[in-house]
Amino acid sequence: MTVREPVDDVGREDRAVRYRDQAAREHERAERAAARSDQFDRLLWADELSPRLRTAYLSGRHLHRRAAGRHRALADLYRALADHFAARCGNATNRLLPTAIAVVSRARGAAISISVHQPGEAVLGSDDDSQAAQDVEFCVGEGPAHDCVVSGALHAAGPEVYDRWPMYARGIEHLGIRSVTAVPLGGNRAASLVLYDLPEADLEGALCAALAVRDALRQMEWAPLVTPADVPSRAAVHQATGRIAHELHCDPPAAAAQLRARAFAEDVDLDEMSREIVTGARDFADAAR
Amino acid sequence: MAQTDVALSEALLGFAQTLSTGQDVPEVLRDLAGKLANALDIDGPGVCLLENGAVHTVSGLGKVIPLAARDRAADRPPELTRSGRLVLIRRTDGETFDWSACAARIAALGFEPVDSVPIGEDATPAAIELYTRPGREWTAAELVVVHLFAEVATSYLQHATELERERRTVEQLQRALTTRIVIEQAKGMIAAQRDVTVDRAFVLLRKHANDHNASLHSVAEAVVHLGLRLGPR
Repeated sequence: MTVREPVDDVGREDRAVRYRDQAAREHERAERAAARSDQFDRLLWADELSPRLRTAYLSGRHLHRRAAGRHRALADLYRALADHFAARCGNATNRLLPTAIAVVSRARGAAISISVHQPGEAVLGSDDDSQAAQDVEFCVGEGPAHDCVVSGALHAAGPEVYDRWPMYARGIEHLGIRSVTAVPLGGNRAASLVLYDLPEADLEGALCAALAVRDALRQMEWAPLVTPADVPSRAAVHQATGRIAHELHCDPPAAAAQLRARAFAEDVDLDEMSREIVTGARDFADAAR
Repeated sequence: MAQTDVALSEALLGFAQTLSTGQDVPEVLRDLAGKLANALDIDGPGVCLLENGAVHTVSGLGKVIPLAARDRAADRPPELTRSGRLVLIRRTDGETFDWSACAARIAALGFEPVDSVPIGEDATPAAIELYTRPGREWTAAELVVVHLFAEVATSYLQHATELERERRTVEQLQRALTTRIVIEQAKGMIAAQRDVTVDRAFVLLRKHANDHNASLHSVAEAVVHLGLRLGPR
């Protein structure tokens, strides 16, 4: 699956300057929050501090330390976007944001997965492998993006990936992905952010890294970085679903379930099977009767 | 340690618990006002939200200040209206202030004028207001904790705003996606019904939409969900 349009050169430098300014502003905010955290730190050294006031001051220190971390992460994200525009590299529009996220989190790849009926119906991937891993997840109907919108942030590495999602693990085997970390986005099981091969190997470290970059993403207005019309949307799968719904006299969700089940049973790529159905090279209805 | 310092610390912890229960913003701000009123033993804490440049009081000023005195969007301290910052408004003996009409109304009710201390780094659309009767002295620890209250509230409001923005962004993408999915499904259905290619099916879909002055999406919806069959053209 490819993203079609390259970034327009118009306004690249302006955008680089704008993101650089925003990064500087976030950096200043991080500094101010850190200074405020230090103020609470100093208050904690006061004589005769009651336990309750001490707790309050600790809360203040924690609050501002976290704020400083969030502003720093956002500054990093803006800087990565500024660097992209300044370097005039030919990344496709919808890859900008996941690429910046991957750079900031030092992950091998990142993907934002958006669902209507199921996760992964549209994917913004930082690179071909991230996109391919999401394609596998969409086709087999299981994986980190599916689970994290239900269970919350998750991380799985090595054999754990096979244990949790055997079909998904087999499907991504050739990509050489060692670990996946996923956090929900948007609420209402609507979207998720999946990071591939974060440098943090342990559960806690990986989840902290993923949540930090998710929080940074949350603080920025990222809608302008996404062009909905250019988000790959698995047209062939939906066309095949429509055809099957007509031929089997069922509703689209039932048709989609049949299509997916057949692709899995025959161990055929879902997109490939869909294209065959749409072009008439494969008669789905006859085989189903 | 003064008794109010203890009460404030307890109130702060209680407020932090409220934040973790996932209540909506007005509920949280009401809780904030109530906890401050109890902890500080003051007559009127108020919490206001700025929305689209207008001030909405989301929680009452407690026992004394009636609604009429609070309904004063026009004479809000200018720096609050302009910056939208979370502002702790506290009474300071001997200070003058110029909220004119608002000040007069509040003074008529027996309250001292207040001054304002902007808190928080960003434009946050809320204000905490504390009104006390003359003669109230604030300890340094009280002020630190009240400021901390405001900062926790700031952080919460920012978080709530960010979540809402993220939800809207994802919903926009979902809407765009939903439209595309149903159009693709309709193309597949029409192609099967008419034994044509999906490209030809799209031409038929678009023509039907144009002929009937309808949107592509609504015609596709009708094909997929209502069994609409396009005419023989």
